[in-house]
Amino acid sequence: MTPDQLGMVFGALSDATRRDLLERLSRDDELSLNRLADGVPMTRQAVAKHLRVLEEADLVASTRTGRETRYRLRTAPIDEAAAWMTRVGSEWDARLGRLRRLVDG
Amino acid sequence: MDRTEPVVEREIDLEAGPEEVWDALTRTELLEGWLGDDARIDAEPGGHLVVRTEDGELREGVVQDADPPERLRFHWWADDAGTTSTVEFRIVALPGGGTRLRVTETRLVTPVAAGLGWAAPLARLRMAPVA
Repeated sequence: MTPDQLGMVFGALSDATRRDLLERLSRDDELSLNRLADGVPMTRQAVAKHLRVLEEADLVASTRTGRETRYRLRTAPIDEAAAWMTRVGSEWDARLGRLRRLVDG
Repeated sequence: MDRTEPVVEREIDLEAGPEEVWDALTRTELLEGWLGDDARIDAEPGGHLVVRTEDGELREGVVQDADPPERLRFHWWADDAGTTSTVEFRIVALPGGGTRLRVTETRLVTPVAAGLGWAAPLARLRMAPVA
């Protein structure tokens, strides 16, 4: 994953509506745009726009059957983003632990 | 396009005073005690940074901002990977003595590669008299 892709993932995750859509997709294999738009207080078009942002970040994939578009969750980008934060976080935990022993020890 | 830079933030309170913490962040003999081996930083804007981190990876960087004993900010990147992040230390004196140290590491979404093209060789030049 390039830094730019990772940035798109974090950008996509920074919005509460999009996180809610992902959360709902995580509970079903696939959901149609209509089903997803049902549960939120915004227009179908607004939901479709959020789904496009998620799709650009590769967090959802869509398939079109006839007139219906169905969406499903893709977890790999979230796993990668979380892996970066976990790795960098634990690096700093270890470094700051050593720093504390050095200056306060 | 909607992008947000990934950030990791940590904060610790130390008994040591701000000056002492600043020294630990910037003096070679102290840096090696916590950041990694062969650590060296020229703590002024444009100064070079080099360190071999705990996993044996060589990192290089360039200091963006140095305001002793309160703020130190640098870009750093691993030798082999194409990713750069910004690290910022904020040192705040606590009322009862001691220091609050906050570190944030932000992965740069827009690759600084364009900037690093000139920054890295320049930093090496700056480093040369010290080596």
